[in-house]
Amino acid sequence: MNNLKTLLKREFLLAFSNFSSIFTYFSFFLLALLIFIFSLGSEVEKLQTLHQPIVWVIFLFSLILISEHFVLEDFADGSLRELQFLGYSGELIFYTKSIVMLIVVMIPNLFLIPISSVFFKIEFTNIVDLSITIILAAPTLVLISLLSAFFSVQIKKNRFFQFIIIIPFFIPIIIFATSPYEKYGLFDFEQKFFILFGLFLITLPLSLILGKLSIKEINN
Amino acid sequence: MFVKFANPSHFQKLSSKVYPIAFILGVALLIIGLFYSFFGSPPDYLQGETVRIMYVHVPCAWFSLFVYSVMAICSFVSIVFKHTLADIISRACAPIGASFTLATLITGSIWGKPTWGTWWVWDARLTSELILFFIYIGHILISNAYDDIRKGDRNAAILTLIGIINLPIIKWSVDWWNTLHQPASISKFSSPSIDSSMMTPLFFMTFSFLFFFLTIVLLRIKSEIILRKIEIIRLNKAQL
Repeated sequence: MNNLKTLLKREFLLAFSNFSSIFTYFSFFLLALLIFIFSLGSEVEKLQTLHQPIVWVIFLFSLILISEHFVLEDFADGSLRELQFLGYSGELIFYTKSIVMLIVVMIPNLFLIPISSVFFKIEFTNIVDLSITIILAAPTLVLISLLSAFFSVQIKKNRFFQFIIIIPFFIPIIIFATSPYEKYGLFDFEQKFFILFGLFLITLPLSLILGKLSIKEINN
Repeated sequence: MFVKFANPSHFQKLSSKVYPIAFILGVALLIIGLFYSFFGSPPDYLQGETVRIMYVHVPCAWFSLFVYSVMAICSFVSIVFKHTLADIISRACAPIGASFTLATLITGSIWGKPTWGTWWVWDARLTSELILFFIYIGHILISNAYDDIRKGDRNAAILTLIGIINLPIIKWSVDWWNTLHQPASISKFSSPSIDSSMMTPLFFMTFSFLFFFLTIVLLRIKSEIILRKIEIIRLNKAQL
Protein backbone atom coordinates (compact mmCIF):
# COMPACT_ATOMS: atom_id res chain seq x y z
CA MET A 1 0.00 0.00 0.00
CA ASN A 2 2.86 2.34 0.85
CA ASN A 3 4.44 1.56 -2.51
CA LEU A 4 1.22 2.51 -4.26
CA LYS A 5 1.00 5.79 -2.33
CA THR A 6 4.63 6.66 -3.08
CA LEU A 7 4.32 5.88 -6.76
CA LEU A 8 1.01 7.73 -7.07
CA LYS A 9 2.55 10.77 -5.38
CA ARG A 10 5.52 10.60 -7.76
CA GLU A 11 3.34 10.35 -10.85
CA PHE A 12 1.05 13.16 -9.67
CA LEU A 13 4.01 15.42 -8.96
CA LEU A 14 5.48 14.71 -12.38
CA ALA A 15 2.19 15.21 -14.20
CA PHE A 16 1.06 18.30 -12.34
CA SER A 17 4.43 19.94 -11.66
CA ASN A 18 3.93 22.49 -14.43
CA PHE A 19 0.51 21.60 -15.85
CA SER A 20 2.14 21.31 -19.26
CA SER A 21 0.47 18.00 -20.10
CA ILE A 22 -3.00 19.33 -19.24
CA PHE A 23 -2.33 22.54 -21.13
CA THR A 24 -1.08 20.60 -24.17
CA TYR A 25 -4.13 18.34 -24.08
CA PHE A 26 -6.44 21.34 -23.76
CA SER A 27 -4.81 23.20 -26.65
CA PHE A 28 -4.73 20.16 -28.92
CA PHE A 29 -8.39 19.43 -28.30
CA LEU A 30 -9.50 22.99 -29.01
CA LEU A 31 -7.34 23.39 -32.10
CA ALA A 32 -8.52 20.07 -33.51
CA LEU A 33 -12.12 21.17 -32.92
CA LEU A 34 -11.44 24.39 -34.80
CA ILE A 35 -9.87 22.50 -37.70
CA PHE A 36 -12.99 20.35 -37.99
CA ILE A 37 -15.28 23.37 -37.82
CA PHE A 38 -13.32 25.28 -40.47
CA SER A 39 -13.11 22.28 -42.78
CA LEU A 40 -16.81 21.45 -42.42
CA GLY A 41 -18.09 24.98 -42.78
CA SER A 42 -20.43 26.81 -40.47
CA GLU A 43 -23.67 24.99 -41.31
CA VAL A 44 -25.21 24.35 -37.92
CA GLU A 45 -27.11 21.21 -38.91
CA LYS A 46 -24.03 19.53 -40.35
CA LEU A 47 -21.99 20.45 -37.29
CA GLN A 48 -24.65 19.12 -34.93
CA THR A 49 -24.81 15.76 -36.71
CA LEU A 50 -21.06 15.35 -36.61
CA HIS A 51 -20.47 16.60 -33.07
CA GLN A 52 -20.23 13.20 -31.39
CA PRO A 53 -17.89 11.49 -33.92
CA ILE A 54 -15.64 14.56 -34.03
CA VAL A 55 -15.28 14.68 -30.25
CA TRP A 56 -14.55 10.94 -30.20
CA VAL A 57 -11.90 11.18 -32.92
CA ILE A 58 -10.12 14.07 -31.18
CA PHE A 59 -10.39 12.31 -27.83
CA LEU A 60 -8.82 9.11 -29.19
CA PHE A 61 -6.02 10.91 -31.00
CA SER A 62 -5.20 13.03 -27.99
CA LEU A 63 -5.12 9.89 -25.83
CA ILE A 64 -2.59 8.25 -28.12
CA LEU A 65 -0.46 11.39 -28.28
CA ILE A 66 -0.48 12.05 -24.55
CA SER A 67 0.16 8.43 -23.54
CA GLU A 68 3.74 8.57 -24.77
CA HIS A 69 4.40 11.54 -22.50
CA PHE A 70 3.82 9.29 -19.46
CA VAL A 71 6.36 6.72 -20.56
CA LEU A 72 8.96 8.51 -22.65
CA GLU A 73 10.56 10.63 -19.92
CA ASP A 74 10.82 7.74 -17.47
CA PHE A 75 12.22 5.56 -20.21
CA ALA A 76 14.74 8.15 -21.41
CA ASP A 77 16.16 9.07 -18.00
CA GLY A 78 16.26 5.47 -16.79
CA SER A 79 13.61 5.97 -14.07
CA LEU A 80 11.65 2.94 -15.24
CA ARG A 81 14.65 0.70 -14.72
CA GLU A 82 15.46 2.38 -11.42
CA LEU A 83 11.92 1.96 -10.09
CA GLN A 84 12.09 -1.74 -10.74
CA PHE A 85 15.46 -2.00 -9.03
CA LEU A 86 13.92 -0.25 -6.05
CA GLY A 87 11.40 -3.08 -5.83
CA TYR A 88 8.29 -1.53 -7.38
CA SER A 89 6.47 -4.16 -9.38
CA GLY A 90 5.70 -3.68 -13.07
CA GLU A 91 1.95 -3.96 -12.40
CA LEU A 92 2.13 -1.18 -9.82
CA ILE A 93 4.07 1.12 -12.14
CA PHE A 94 1.57 0.48 -14.92
CA TYR A 95 -1.40 0.87 -12.58
CA THR A 96 -0.27 4.20 -11.11
CA LYS A 97 0.59 5.62 -14.52
CA SER A 98 -2.90 4.67 -15.78
CA ILE A 99 -4.62 6.34 -12.82
CA VAL A 100 -2.70 9.57 -13.25
CA MET A 101 -3.15 9.55 -17.03
CA LEU A 102 -6.88 9.03 -16.58
CA ILE A 103 -7.07 12.04 -14.27
CA VAL A 104 -4.94 14.18 -16.60
CA VAL A 105 -7.23 13.28 -19.49
CA MET A 106 -10.55 13.56 -17.67
CA ILE A 107 -10.04 16.93 -15.96
CA PRO A 108 -9.77 18.86 -19.27
CA ASN A 109 -12.69 16.85 -20.69
CA LEU A 110 -14.98 18.19 -17.97
CA PHE A 111 -14.55 21.60 -19.58
CA LEU A 112 -13.83 20.63 -23.18
CA ILE A 113 -17.00 18.65 -23.90
CA PRO A 114 -19.29 21.50 -22.78
CA ILE A 115 -17.14 23.96 -24.73
CA SER A 116 -17.43 21.78 -27.83
CA SER A 117 -21.22 21.75 -27.42
CA VAL A 118 -21.16 25.55 -27.54
CA PHE A 119 -19.06 25.53 -30.73
CA PHE A 120 -21.38 22.99 -32.34
CA LYS A 121 -24.54 24.60 -30.97
CA ILE A 122 -25.63 21.48 -29.13
CA GLU A 123 -28.15 21.61 -26.28
CA PHE A 124 -26.40 21.02 -22.98
CA THR A 125 -28.75 18.12 -22.10
CA ASN A 126 -27.76 16.32 -25.32
CA ILE A 127 -24.13 16.01 -24.30
CA VAL A 128 -24.92 13.99 -21.18
CA ASP A 129 -24.91 10.70 -23.13
CA LEU A 130 -21.61 11.61 -24.80
CA SER A 131 -20.02 12.61 -21.51
CA ILE A 132 -21.11 9.43 -19.71
CA THR A 133 -19.88 7.17 -22.51
CA ILE A 134 -16.53 8.98 -22.61
CA ILE A 135 -16.20 8.67 -18.82
CA LEU A 136 -17.01 4.96 -19.00
CA ALA A 137 -14.84 4.20 -22.00
CA ALA A 138 -11.88 6.33 -20.89
CA PRO A 139 -10.38 3.85 -18.35
CA THR A 140 -10.27 1.07 -20.96
CA LEU A 141 -8.86 3.40 -23.61
CA VAL A 142 -6.24 4.76 -21.21
CA LEU A 143 -5.06 1.24 -20.35
CA ILE A 144 -4.78 0.27 -24.01
CA SER A 145 -3.02 3.47 -25.07
CA LEU A 146 -0.56 3.27 -22.20
CA LEU A 147 0.26 -0.30 -23.16
CA SER A 148 0.90 0.76 -26.74
CA ALA A 149 3.10 3.60 -25.47
CA PHE A 150 5.25 1.02 -23.69
CA PHE A 151 5.59 -0.85 -26.98
CA SER A 152 6.40 2.12 -29.14
CA VAL A 153 8.73 3.94 -26.77
CA GLN A 154 11.44 1.42 -27.56
CA ILE A 155 11.18 2.08 -31.28
CA LYS A 156 12.55 5.29 -32.66
CA LYS A 157 11.96 4.43 -36.29
CA ASN A 158 8.37 5.40 -36.88
CA ARG A 159 5.99 7.68 -35.00
CA PHE A 160 2.97 6.22 -36.81
CA PHE A 161 3.72 2.87 -35.30
CA GLN A 162 1.75 3.46 -32.12
CA PHE A 163 -1.33 4.49 -34.11
CA ILE A 164 -1.19 1.34 -36.23
CA ILE A 165 -0.94 -0.95 -33.21
CA ILE A 166 -3.53 0.76 -31.11
CA ILE A 167 -6.38 1.78 -33.41
CA PRO A 168 -7.66 -1.78 -34.09
CA PHE A 169 -8.07 -2.25 -30.34
CA PHE A 170 -9.97 1.01 -29.98
CA ILE A 171 -12.57 0.03 -32.56
CA PRO A 172 -14.70 -2.37 -30.43
CA ILE A 173 -14.89 0.21 -27.66
CA ILE A 174 -15.83 2.96 -30.10
CA ILE A 175 -18.50 0.71 -31.62
CA PHE A 176 -20.12 0.10 -28.25
CA ALA A 177 -19.65 3.66 -27.06
CA THR A 178 -20.97 5.47 -30.11
CA SER A 179 -23.68 3.10 -31.30
CA PRO A 180 -27.08 4.74 -30.96
CA TYR A 181 -28.86 2.33 -28.65
CA GLU A 182 -32.27 2.69 -30.37
CA LYS A 183 -30.79 1.21 -33.55
CA TYR A 184 -30.07 -2.18 -32.07
CA GLY A 185 -32.91 -4.15 -30.60
CA LEU A 186 -30.39 -6.05 -28.52
CA PHE A 187 -28.99 -3.15 -26.52
CA ASP A 188 -30.86 -0.65 -24.47
CA PHE A 189 -29.37 2.41 -22.83
CA GLU A 190 -28.26 0.61 -19.64
CA GLN A 191 -26.82 -2.40 -21.47
CA LYS A 192 -24.55 -0.13 -23.50
CA PHE A 193 -23.01 1.17 -20.29
CA PHE A 194 -22.78 -2.31 -18.78
CA ILE A 195 -20.93 -3.48 -21.89
CA LEU A 196 -18.44 -0.61 -21.61
CA PHE A 197 -17.92 -1.41 -17.95
CA GLY A 198 -17.55 -5.10 -18.83
CA LEU A 199 -14.91 -4.25 -21.43
CA PHE A 200 -13.03 -2.33 -18.74
CA LEU A 201 -13.19 -5.31 -16.38
CA ILE A 202 -11.73 -7.54 -19.12
CA THR A 203 -9.05 -5.04 -20.09
CA LEU A 204 -7.89 -4.21 -16.54
CA PRO A 205 -6.35 -7.56 -15.49
CA LEU A 206 -5.15 -8.29 -19.02
CA SER A 207 -3.40 -4.94 -19.41
CA LEU A 208 -1.85 -5.14 -15.93
CA ILE A 209 -0.23 -8.49 -16.76
CA LEU A 210 0.82 -7.40 -20.23
CA GLY A 211 1.95 -4.00 -18.97
CA LYS A 212 4.19 -5.73 -16.46
CA LEU A 213 5.64 -7.87 -19.23
CA SER A 214 6.32 -4.91 -21.49
CA ILE A 215 7.98 -2.95 -18.66
CA LYS A 216 10.14 -5.99 -18.06
CA GLU A 217 11.01 -6.08 -21.75
CA ILE A 218 12.01 -2.42 -21.71
CA ASN A 219 14.46 -3.11 -18.91
CA ASN A 220 15.96 -6.19 -20.53
CA MET B 1 8.47 -36.22 -27.64
CA PHE B 2 7.35 -32.58 -27.36
CA VAL B 3 10.57 -31.65 -25.59
CA LYS B 4 12.58 -33.32 -28.35
CA PHE B 5 10.78 -31.54 -31.18
CA ALA B 6 10.73 -28.24 -29.31
CA ASN B 7 14.42 -28.04 -30.13
CA PRO B 8 14.63 -25.92 -33.34
CA SER B 9 17.17 -28.29 -34.99
CA HIS B 10 15.06 -31.38 -34.32
CA PHE B 11 11.98 -29.52 -35.47
CA GLN B 12 13.77 -28.54 -38.66
CA LYS B 13 14.56 -32.19 -39.41
CA LEU B 14 10.95 -33.19 -38.76
CA SER B 15 9.58 -30.35 -40.88
CA SER B 16 11.84 -31.34 -43.79
CA LYS B 17 10.12 -34.74 -43.80
CA VAL B 18 6.59 -33.45 -43.20
CA TYR B 19 6.27 -30.54 -45.61
CA PRO B 20 6.62 -32.49 -48.92
CA ILE B 21 3.87 -34.86 -47.72
CA ALA B 22 1.70 -31.91 -46.66
CA PHE B 23 2.31 -30.25 -50.03
CA ILE B 24 1.31 -33.37 -52.02
CA LEU B 25 -1.79 -33.91 -49.86
CA GLY B 26 -2.72 -30.23 -50.18
CA VAL B 27 -2.46 -30.28 -53.99
CA ALA B 28 -4.38 -33.57 -54.25
CA LEU B 29 -7.17 -32.35 -51.99
CA LEU B 30 -7.27 -28.99 -53.81
CA ILE B 31 -7.78 -30.75 -57.16
CA ILE B 32 -10.57 -32.93 -55.73
CA GLY B 33 -12.06 -29.96 -53.90
CA LEU B 34 -12.04 -27.76 -57.01
CA PHE B 35 -13.61 -30.56 -59.05
CA TYR B 36 -16.43 -30.94 -56.54
CA SER B 37 -16.76 -27.16 -56.19
CA PHE B 38 -17.25 -26.60 -59.92
CA PHE B 39 -18.81 -29.83 -61.17
CA GLY B 40 -19.89 -31.98 -58.20
CA SER B 41 -22.07 -29.47 -56.35
CA PRO B 42 -25.29 -27.84 -57.50
CA PRO B 43 -25.84 -24.09 -57.81
CA ASP B 44 -27.82 -22.52 -55.01
CA TYR B 45 -31.55 -22.13 -55.65
CA LEU B 46 -31.34 -18.44 -54.67
CA GLN B 47 -27.76 -17.35 -55.32
CA GLY B 48 -27.08 -19.45 -58.40
CA GLU B 49 -23.46 -20.00 -59.41
CA THR B 50 -22.11 -17.30 -57.10
CA VAL B 51 -22.45 -19.66 -54.15
CA ARG B 52 -19.26 -21.40 -55.35
CA ILE B 53 -17.23 -18.53 -53.85
CA MET B 54 -18.18 -20.11 -50.54
CA TYR B 55 -15.70 -22.96 -51.15
CA VAL B 56 -12.84 -20.47 -50.92
CA HIS B 57 -14.38 -17.84 -48.66
CA VAL B 58 -15.43 -20.11 -45.79
CA PRO B 59 -12.13 -22.05 -45.45
CA CYS B 60 -10.22 -18.75 -45.63
CA ALA B 61 -12.41 -17.31 -42.86
CA TRP B 62 -11.95 -20.41 -40.69
CA PHE B 63 -8.21 -20.34 -41.18
CA SER B 64 -7.97 -16.63 -40.46
CA LEU B 65 -9.25 -17.51 -36.97
CA PHE B 66 -7.41 -20.80 -36.68
CA VAL B 67 -4.02 -19.27 -37.51
CA TYR B 68 -4.59 -16.54 -34.95
CA SER B 69 -5.45 -19.19 -32.34
CA VAL B 70 -2.19 -20.98 -33.16
CA MET B 71 -0.34 -17.69 -32.77
CA ALA B 72 -2.07 -17.01 -29.45
CA ILE B 73 -1.08 -20.44 -28.09
CA CYS B 74 2.51 -19.88 -29.27
CA SER B 75 2.54 -16.41 -27.69
CA PHE B 76 1.37 -17.87 -24.40
CA VAL B 77 4.07 -20.55 -24.56
CA SER B 78 6.62 -17.90 -25.51
CA ILE B 79 5.74 -15.65 -22.57
CA VAL B 80 5.42 -18.42 -19.98
CA PHE B 81 8.22 -20.78 -21.05
CA LYS B 82 10.31 -18.29 -23.08
CA HIS B 83 10.60 -20.79 -25.89
CA THR B 84 12.27 -19.60 -29.09
CA LEU B 85 10.43 -22.07 -31.33
CA ALA B 86 7.08 -20.68 -30.19
CA ASP B 87 8.25 -17.20 -31.24
CA ILE B 88 9.42 -18.55 -34.58
CA ILE B 89 6.10 -20.31 -35.23
CA SER B 90 4.17 -17.20 -34.30
CA ARG B 91 6.32 -15.05 -36.59
CA ALA B 92 5.92 -17.57 -39.42
CA CYS B 93 2.14 -17.74 -38.99
CA ALA B 94 1.40 -13.99 -39.02
CA PRO B 95 1.74 -13.25 -42.78
CA ILE B 96 -0.14 -16.43 -43.64
CA GLY B 97 -2.96 -15.50 -41.27
CA ALA B 98 -3.01 -11.98 -42.69
CA SER B 99 -3.27 -13.44 -46.22
CA PHE B 100 -6.16 -15.70 -45.20
CA THR B 101 -7.92 -12.73 -43.61
CA LEU B 102 -7.37 -10.55 -46.67
CA ALA B 103 -8.61 -13.38 -48.91
CA THR B 104 -11.70 -13.69 -46.68
CA LEU B 105 -12.41 -9.99 -47.01
CA ILE B 106 -11.86 -9.93 -50.79
CA THR B 107 -13.85 -13.09 -51.56
CA GLY B 108 -16.57 -11.94 -49.15
CA SER B 109 -16.73 -8.64 -50.96
CA ILE B 110 -16.97 -10.37 -54.36
CA TRP B 111 -19.72 -12.60 -52.97
CA GLY B 112 -21.47 -9.67 -51.33
CA LYS B 113 -21.94 -7.63 -54.51
CA PRO B 114 -24.34 -10.05 -56.29
CA THR B 115 -26.07 -11.28 -53.13
CA TRP B 116 -26.35 -8.16 -50.96
CA GLY B 117 -25.99 -5.61 -53.76
CA THR B 118 -22.93 -4.00 -52.24
CA TRP B 119 -19.21 -4.66 -52.04
CA TRP B 120 -18.97 -3.68 -48.39
CA VAL B 121 -21.22 -3.00 -45.41
CA TRP B 122 -20.18 -1.97 -41.91
CA ASP B 123 -21.56 -5.21 -40.62
CA ALA B 124 -20.33 -6.61 -37.29
CA ARG B 125 -18.81 -9.73 -38.87
CA LEU B 126 -17.06 -7.81 -41.65
CA THR B 127 -15.80 -5.10 -39.34
CA SER B 128 -14.44 -7.55 -36.77
CA GLU B 129 -12.71 -9.50 -39.56
CA LEU B 130 -11.18 -6.23 -40.80
CA ILE B 131 -9.95 -5.53 -37.26
CA LEU B 132 -8.37 -8.99 -37.23
CA PHE B 133 -6.53 -8.08 -40.43
CA PHE B 134 -5.16 -4.92 -38.80
CA ILE B 135 -4.12 -6.90 -35.73
CA TYR B 136 -2.17 -9.25 -38.00
CA ILE B 137 -0.54 -6.22 -39.66
CA GLY B 138 0.30 -4.83 -36.21
CA HIS B 139 1.88 -8.15 -35.28
CA ILE B 140 4.02 -8.21 -38.43
CA LEU B 141 5.09 -4.60 -37.90
CA ILE B 142 5.89 -4.98 -34.22
CA SER B 143 7.88 -8.19 -34.66
CA ASN B 144 10.07 -6.49 -37.28
CA ALA B 145 10.31 -3.08 -35.64
CA TYR B 146 13.03 -3.75 -33.10
CA ASP B 147 16.74 -4.12 -33.71
CA ASP B 148 16.72 -7.04 -31.29
CA ILE B 149 14.64 -9.89 -32.80
CA ARG B 150 13.92 -11.37 -29.38
CA LYS B 151 12.43 -8.09 -28.17
CA GLY B 152 10.25 -7.90 -31.27
CA ASP B 153 9.03 -11.44 -30.68
CA ARG B 154 8.21 -10.79 -27.04
CA ASN B 155 6.26 -7.59 -27.77
CA ALA B 156 4.47 -9.24 -30.69
CA ALA B 157 3.46 -12.07 -28.33
CA ILE B 158 1.97 -9.54 -25.92
CA LEU B 159 0.06 -7.88 -28.76
CA THR B 160 -1.26 -11.26 -29.95
CA LEU B 161 -2.60 -12.03 -26.49
CA ILE B 162 -4.42 -8.70 -26.34
CA GLY B 163 -5.89 -9.34 -29.79
CA ILE B 164 -7.35 -12.69 -28.77
CA ILE B 165 -10.36 -10.80 -27.42
CA ASN B 166 -11.37 -10.20 -31.03
CA LEU B 167 -11.82 -13.94 -31.81
CA PRO B 168 -15.06 -14.50 -29.82
CA ILE B 169 -16.35 -11.18 -31.18
CA ILE B 170 -15.84 -12.44 -34.76
CA LYS B 171 -17.31 -15.84 -33.97
CA TRP B 172 -20.48 -14.65 -32.25
CA SER B 173 -20.90 -11.27 -33.95
CA VAL B 174 -23.63 -12.72 -36.17
CA ASP B 175 -25.56 -13.84 -33.07
CA TRP B 176 -25.00 -10.70 -30.97
CA TRP B 177 -25.95 -8.15 -33.64
CA ASN B 178 -28.58 -8.03 -36.35
CA THR B 179 -26.13 -8.41 -39.21
CA LEU B 180 -26.43 -8.74 -42.96
CA HIS B 181 -23.97 -11.62 -42.79
CA GLN B 182 -25.69 -14.96 -42.36
CA PRO B 183 -25.32 -16.91 -39.08
CA ALA B 184 -23.11 -20.01 -38.89
CA SER B 185 -24.33 -22.83 -41.14
CA ILE B 186 -21.97 -25.48 -39.83
CA SER B 187 -22.03 -24.94 -36.10
CA LYS B 188 -22.73 -28.64 -35.48
CA PHE B 189 -21.42 -31.39 -37.74
CA SER B 190 -24.26 -33.71 -36.70
CA SER B 191 -26.97 -31.39 -38.05
CA PRO B 192 -25.50 -28.71 -40.33
CA SER B 193 -27.91 -26.40 -42.15
CA ILE B 194 -26.05 -27.00 -45.41
CA ASP B 195 -26.74 -29.76 -47.92
CA SER B 196 -24.28 -32.67 -48.08
CA SER B 197 -23.65 -31.96 -51.80
CA MET B 198 -22.21 -28.59 -50.75
CA MET B 199 -20.62 -29.95 -47.61
CA THR B 200 -18.36 -32.37 -49.56
CA PRO B 201 -16.41 -29.75 -51.60
CA LEU B 202 -16.24 -27.53 -48.54
CA PHE B 203 -14.72 -30.40 -46.58
CA PHE B 204 -12.09 -31.10 -49.27
CA MET B 205 -11.24 -27.43 -49.72
CA THR B 206 -10.87 -26.95 -45.96
CA PHE B 207 -8.43 -29.84 -45.66
CA SER B 208 -6.52 -28.69 -48.74
CA PHE B 209 -6.18 -25.26 -47.09
CA LEU B 210 -5.00 -26.95 -43.92
CA PHE B 211 -2.21 -28.79 -45.73
CA PHE B 212 -1.41 -25.65 -47.73
CA PHE B 213 -1.06 -23.77 -44.44
CA LEU B 214 1.12 -26.56 -42.99
CA THR B 215 3.41 -26.50 -46.03
CA ILE B 216 3.89 -22.74 -46.01
CA VAL B 217 4.30 -22.48 -42.26
CA LEU B 218 6.88 -25.26 -42.13
CA LEU B 219 8.86 -23.66 -44.94
CA ARG B 220 8.71 -20.29 -43.21
CA ILE B 221 9.77 -21.81 -39.88
CA LYS B 222 12.67 -23.52 -41.62
CA SER B 223 13.87 -20.31 -43.23
CA GLU B 224 13.41 -18.39 -39.97
CA ILE B 225 15.56 -20.90 -38.08
CA ILE B 226 18.27 -20.60 -40.74
CA LEU B 227 18.08 -16.79 -40.58
CA ARG B 228 18.54 -16.86 -36.82
CA LYS B 229 21.48 -19.22 -37.09
CA ILE B 230 23.09 -16.85 -39.59
CA GLU B 231 22.43 -13.96 -37.21
CA ILE B 232 24.12 -15.82 -34.34
CA ILE B 233 27.15 -16.65 -36.52
CA ARG B 234 27.36 -13.00 -37.62
CA LEU B 235 27.17 -11.78 -34.02
CA ASN B 236 29.83 -14.27 -32.91
CA LYS B 237 32.12 -13.13 -35.72
CA ALA B 238 31.55 -9.50 -34.83
CA GLN B 239 32.47 -10.21 -31.20
CA LEU B 240 35.72 -11.83 -32.29
